[in-house]
Parts: sequence; C-alpha cells; structure tokens
Amino acid sequence: MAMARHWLQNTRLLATLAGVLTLALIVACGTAAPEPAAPASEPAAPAQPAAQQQAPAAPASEPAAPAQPAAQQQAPAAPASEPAAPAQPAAQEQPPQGVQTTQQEYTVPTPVPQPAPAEQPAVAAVTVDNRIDRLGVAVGGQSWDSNYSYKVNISGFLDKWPVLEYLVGIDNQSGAYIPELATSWEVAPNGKDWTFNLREDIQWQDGYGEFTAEDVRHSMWLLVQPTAKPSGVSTWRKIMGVSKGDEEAVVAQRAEEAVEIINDHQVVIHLGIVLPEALFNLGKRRNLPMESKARWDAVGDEGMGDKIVGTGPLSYVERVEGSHVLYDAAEEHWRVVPEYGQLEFRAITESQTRLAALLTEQVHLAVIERSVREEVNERGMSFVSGVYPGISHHWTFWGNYHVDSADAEGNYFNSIDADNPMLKREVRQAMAKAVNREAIAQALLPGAKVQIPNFTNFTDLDEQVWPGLKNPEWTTRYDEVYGYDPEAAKQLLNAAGYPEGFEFTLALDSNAALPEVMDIGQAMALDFEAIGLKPKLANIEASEIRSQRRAREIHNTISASAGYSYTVYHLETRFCSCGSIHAFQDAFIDQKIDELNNTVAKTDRTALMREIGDFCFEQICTLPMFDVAPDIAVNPKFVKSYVFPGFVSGFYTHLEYIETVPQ
Amino acid sequence: MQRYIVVRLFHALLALFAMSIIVFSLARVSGNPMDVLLPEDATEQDFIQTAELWGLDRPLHVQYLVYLGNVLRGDFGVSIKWPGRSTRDLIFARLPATLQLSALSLVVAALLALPLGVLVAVKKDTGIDYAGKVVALLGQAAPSFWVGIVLIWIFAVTLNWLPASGRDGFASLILPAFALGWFQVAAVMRLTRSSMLEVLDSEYVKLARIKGIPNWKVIWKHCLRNAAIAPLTYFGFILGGFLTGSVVIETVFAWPGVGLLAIDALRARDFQVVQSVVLFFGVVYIASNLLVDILYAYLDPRIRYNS
Repeated sequence: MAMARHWLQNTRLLATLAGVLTLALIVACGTAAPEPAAPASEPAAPAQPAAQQQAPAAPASEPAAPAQPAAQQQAPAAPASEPAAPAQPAAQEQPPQGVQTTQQEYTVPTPVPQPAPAEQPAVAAVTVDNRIDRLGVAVGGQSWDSNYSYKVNISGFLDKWPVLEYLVGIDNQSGAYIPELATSWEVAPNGKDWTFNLREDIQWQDGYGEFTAEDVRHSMWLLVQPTAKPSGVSTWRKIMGVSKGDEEAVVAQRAEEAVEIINDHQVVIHLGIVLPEALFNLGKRRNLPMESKARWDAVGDEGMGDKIVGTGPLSYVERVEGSHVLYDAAEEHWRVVPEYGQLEFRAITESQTRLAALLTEQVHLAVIERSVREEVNERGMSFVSGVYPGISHHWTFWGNYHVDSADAEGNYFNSIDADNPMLKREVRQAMAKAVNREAIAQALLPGAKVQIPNFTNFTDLDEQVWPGLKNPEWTTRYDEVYGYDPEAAKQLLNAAGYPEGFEFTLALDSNAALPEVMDIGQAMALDFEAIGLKPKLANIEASEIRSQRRAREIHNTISASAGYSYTVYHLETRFCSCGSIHAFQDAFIDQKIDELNNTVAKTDRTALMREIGDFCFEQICTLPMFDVAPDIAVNPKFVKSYVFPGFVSGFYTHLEYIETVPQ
Repeated sequence: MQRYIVVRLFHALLALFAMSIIVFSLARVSGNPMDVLLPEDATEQDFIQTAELWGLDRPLHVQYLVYLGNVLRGDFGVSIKWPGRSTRDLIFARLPATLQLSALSLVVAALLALPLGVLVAVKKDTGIDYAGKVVALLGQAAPSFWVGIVLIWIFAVTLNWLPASGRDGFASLILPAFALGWFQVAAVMRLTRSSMLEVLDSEYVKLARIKGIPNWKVIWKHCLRNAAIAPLTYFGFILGGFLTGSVVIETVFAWPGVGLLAIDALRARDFQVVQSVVLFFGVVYIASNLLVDILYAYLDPRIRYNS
C-alpha cells in the first residue's frame, strides 16, 4: 500500500506510465485491426480482350456466347420471351428530379416469363483491366449482422447478395425475373409444380464442388428446418407443406417430397399450395439463396455462421461485427466480373459520419439523408435512384375490423370500437383529402424520385406481372376521391357528424426505409389541424403497434408504412381477417381472397385482385401518400454508373454490376 | 478498513441487484419481445411456440428469477440479432475496442487537464485563467456527439488529416479518443485548479520559496504531488464514465465497441443484448466507484473511521 501511495504521489512516475500506456496503445492499434492485403499490391492480371477469355463450359446444347466488351455485359440478356429492357440512365444521367404529380410510366417488360424462357446462352467470363482496388459502401447500422442466410430476415441480405446466387435473378434495369442458377423453368397448369433446369458447371466457392439439384433441395430444407428464422417463415412452411412443430425428420422427409430431383440439373418443386406467382418466393426478391449441401455436411449449423459461401462473383473475406464486411471480387465469373478488386460494406450508424466517409473517400457510395442532398451535390457527389419507386408510403386507419373474429377457444367476438370515427368512409376520405402530398414531398424529400398517386399494394411492378391489375379509373378519379381539397374535407367531416373535428392518435415511429416519416407525420398533423381535426402525436414503437393490431386492440389511430411487397402476399397479410395485420377487414375482401386461393388462371386471379383494389379504392381502406425511389449518394470520381431495381428489401442489390471509373 | 470494504461491497451488490430488476423490467416494458422475434406473417401457433421456447409464457417474476439464475451462472442469454451468439461473447468480442478507446481518452484527459489545471492555478486571475475557464465551460457544455461531429468535419473532411470513422489503426483512434476525453478535461482541469490553489497557499510552499527553490520545482514537484491526489482518484470515476460514455462516441465514429453494440441492439430491439450490455455497464460503474471509495478510504483514514 505504501508503494501504491508513493506511486500516486510521484508525478514523474505517473507521467512515465502515461507515456508507456500511449506507446502500448500505438502498438496495440497497429495490430488490432489488420488491413487485409490490398489488391493494389498484387501484380495486375494481364489485360485480355474479352473475346479471348475462357468461358465456363456451357451446356452442349447452348450456343457459344458472342464475345462482348466487359462494359457491355451489365446484365444478362432478358428472357427471350420478354421485350428488351429499356436502357437505364447512368449515374450521372439522372432523370429530372422532383415530385411527379401524374403517374409515371415505367416502360418495363413483363417480369414473369410465362411460359419458360429459352435457355440462356452462357455469358463469356471477363476480366477487367484498370479495376479500382476497393469499392466502399456505407450503410446505416445493419439490422442483422450475421453470416447465416436462413436465420435472418430479408433485410439482412444486403451483405449476402454479393456472394449468394438464386435460381431466379432480377434484371437490374427492368426488374424482370431472369435466369440465374436456373436456366429456365415452367409451371404446371395446377399452379403447384415448378420445373427448373439448372445451370451446369457452376462451382461453389471454397472447393465445395459443383452446384447440383441436391443443393436446391438442401436450400429449401434450410428455410424450414428447426433452427431457421427467415422472413415469411409461415409462407415457406405453407409452400413446403410443413408445420412449425414438425420434427426434424418430418421436415427432411417433406423437403425430399417437395423437391423432386429428376437429375443433377433438373428439379421439380411441388408446392404445398397453389402459387402461380411463386417466382416472388423462389427468386431474388425473397430469401431462398442457394446454399451448398456439401458445406452443410462438412461444417454443420454452427460452421455456417463462420462465413458466407456461395457461387457469386464476390467471395467472403471477413466480417468484423459492428464494423464492416469485406469481399474479394472474382477474376472470372459466368455472370459478371466486378470492376473493382474488393467490396466493403461499412456499417456507420450516424448519417453525418457516413457523409464524411463519402467526402473523404473512405467509401464511394453512402446512404445519405435526403435533407442534405443539396449540400452533397454541391460537394461534387451525386445521387443514384432505384429504377422503381420501391418505397410505397401510406398510412393505416386502425380499427376497421369489420369481420367478427374468433379467440383461441373459438368464441367469436367483434373487435369494433363503435366510437371510432375512422369507421366512417366520409371521415377516412376527409383525412385523405386533407393532406397536401405534393407540398410535403417537395419540402421533405427534396430531389427524390416521388410518384403520386400511389395505390397501396398495387404497384407498377405488379401491374407488369398481372396486366390489368390496376383499374385505370383509379388514376383518373384519384383527384376526385383522394386529391388535396381542404374545403371538401371539411364538408365530408360535417356530413360524417364531426363539424368540430375529433381527437385521434397519429403514431410516429422511425422507419429505416423512409427516415423522413417522422417529419412527414408532423406535416400531416398540420394539414389535419387545418380542417379542424385534433391529432395527438405519439411516439409509438412499431412493435407496440404490432402487438395491438395482432390483438385488434388499436383504434382511432393512424400509423405509417413504407414497403413494396407484391399484391397477393400483401392483400392476404394486410387485409384478410386470416392475415396477421388486420389493416382493414371486410367480409368482401375475405371472400375474394378465399376465391383467389382456389384460382389458378392468371387472368382470373388478376380480376379477383382488381376487385379487391376497386373495393379498397372506393372504401378508402388506407391513406395513400406517395411512392419514393430509394437512392444512394455516390462519388462520381469512382462510380460511373450503378443501376438497381430499388424494390427489393434492403434496396442496394446488383453492386457487382457497378461500372467504375478507372483510377 | 476490512469492515469498511465489506460494507461497501454489500452496498455494491445491493445496487447491482436493484439494477438487474430495473434492466429486466425496462426490457419487458418497452414491448412484447415476440413482436421482434417473429416475422410479420407469424401465426398464433408461432407466437405460442416461440413464447414457450424463450420462456416468455411464464409469469414475469418467474422469468426474472430464471434470468437472475442464468446471470449468476454466467449465462447472459442468446442474441436475437446475432444468431447463434451468446450476449457474453458479443460483449467480450467488442470490449477490446472500448477499452482501447477509453484508455487513450484517459491519457488525453490526463495529459491535457493536469498541466492546464496547474497553469490556470498558477496564473490565477490573469487572461490565461479566464481562458481556462472558457475551455472548462465549453468542455462541460458542449455535448460529446456535437464535439465528435465537429472534429470529423475539421480534421477529416476539411483538413483530411485523420479518418472520419472506423477502427483502422491508430490514426482512427485519435478523434474519438479526443472527443471522449474532452468532456472530462474540463472537469479534471477545474479540480486540479482548485486543489492547486489550496496547496499554493499552504505554509510549506511558502517555506520552499523562502528557501530559494526554483519556482518550477515548487509547482511541479512539491505542489502538484499533493494537489494531484484529488484529480487522480477522480480518474477512477471517469474510467467508468468513459466506458458508459462510449455509447455516443462509438456511434458517431462507427467505432465497433460495446457502446455501439448497445445502440445496434437497441435498434434491432435485441432485448437480450440490451439488458446484458446495460448490466455490464452497471457492473463496471459500480466496481469503479467501489474501487475509488476504497482508495479514498486508504488515502484518507478519516473516511474509514467515520464510516
């Protein structure tokens, strides 16, 4: 103790100690976060003309792909049955920005090829000369930070897309479903049996052999086996015909039955339900990436968390939790060879820090708040928007449970709160007409690609899948039914018996897809007050809303949504009383969804969905706001163009197709 | 002395117990964890089975007792956001980064605050003293996230001297360490100043000066040695403060430590990790306070005798 006191009282010793500590820190920092070997230090691969490069052996029946310059191989050719996708503007050729007050025409081809597309010619492998060493992408804190593909929800796929590939991909320019690890497919007339022909000579990374039909069966089994927690797990169980409580052996047995292996390169997937739109689930929009069975057999469930192993054009190098994920780009790949040596996702929670990282060239793409867009542009950066307005923003009028519900014991009860003004159509319409969407979008989403009108659950993309899905009258009558008109809104409130307005809760919560949603809610509150309504702003977390809506206990409240799901899934989940959200229930909707689940013909299904759409349009089931295209700031000194569809959850897909500026 | 330590230990354990109840309750009050655990389209069957799996179908007090029992056995639960990872592993994996940041912040605070405190005490009521007061005011008034962002914009964006974020070697440690240490510079400087003023006015210092000992030697050897006791024991407090204060700074600088883990877990509503991190911070804070109490008692016998 005497020694300790002596130390405390001896400033010279303390100063020395501080110096030693500092030196130790310097040494520790030097070794704490070793930088992976920069590709720049490696000798550059000799540049070869694309035509001379060795393509992966193509199936004998496929014609050799014509040699193309690397820059032209942005995306695989669209299926032969589809019209050619329109060329998309490059990063620096953004369309005029601002609010579009009329429905924007997206001239995209039908995304679902029916019948099956022709066999795809193999794309010649390319190597890229003058590729930049590293491409950095700064995103907010990742909602999932794991190497498992089957234990995270779809928003956790941002860092898995570079490595993992799917049976069915998505064209980055048109949004169409295109062959990826499957070269072609067809669905039987029963809407349940899907035949996929698989691409040959695709090798797994890390030496796990060739991709075969066994891997398809294994990948589907992974999603429903006991340790899995994917998005849409209930849908996956329905598709596979299993229950949550099923034992492992039962699930394995069902997977064998569900995925019939014809030969190494052909499978027939027998769905447990009629699902003519199954490509939504089986393709890149959802969470069925191909995983190697050989790897699972070698490392098991625990080992699958160590790294990501796939067949994609990038291979996993390391993940430092809370910091970054790093990938190496392949020198050769059948689909595309990235124009950079490494890809790095950096998790930077604070928006200002992401901006600083972009400006200091720590990263070359960064998700930046729209409010600082002007400043970002002034500093020489530019924004790239998704091809589609993949953030469909609307508000839900809670309490419209117009269908009796049953409790766990089977006793029926009515969840309606008779005092809820939002049960009246006039009130919902008044609220819809009170909101000045254009002004809000112009003020809070400056420069963003915004589309007004939008129709909840009926998107442009879905219109391409089911032509005729959207009734043209919705657009022509939009102003009459939903358009901003405060005077008409006041009259509607009068007619509904609320000349003095009423109190209601306007629930605010942050939203990763649309960070401005809190400001939007506050702006809407001002519009509501202008017609005499009395909104009470309340911070209510999404999980609390989920609890309440599941129990149908939330009334006289509006809350925001921002998603871009596909129509069938959305209608059933959100509006059917058999769903889990209970956003607007009605016996008519239930009846139509019941019919939909027993209808295979595409035209009939389209008609049924449109009937629900007509009903919701007239009933003002929701308060539609606008669709917004996701965007990302890029440094044009490094990024020449980045084209991404913008409607896949997580948004920033197709990074392997980025065109870079040679340094 | 032993009795004093036993009493303080008992108090610390009591505080930890109370904190575990608060942490557990807050994690549950903020919403049903199953609404985070399960996807949007989960069925009632999913909810029932998940509740059974996580023990969420039991009464709250039973859940707490199970949690407490697990904690005492060193089992802090499994993360939701990081599948397959125990929360203890997650904390220990991030701890080196936080310790590294805290240690350098401590050095920054000591190297800046002690000399500055001495200087303003010696130059009492001069321009330097007033400037020191301004520095102290700024240090304690400016929020650390604001200081962090300002530092990034000056030294990373404008001057391009240091990296803006991440943990890529020593250069990336400087800005977050300075931002974290800056707040404490003001406090330690003021403490040093007042201690120095007290010592400078003492008889033995006057005697030393009369004896003709050089002024620098009087100040830095005789005065500081005695005046440094209070600020040095205060460092015990601020070490705990650095660990907990790292939540903001680690978020601003994307520094992958325990503080950022807490924020990431909060965003993902991973209640298992949140309650473990908060408990960990609480243990660190209570332990550092306990150590300081013991140190005080050792250095000043009046405390242990009075207690």
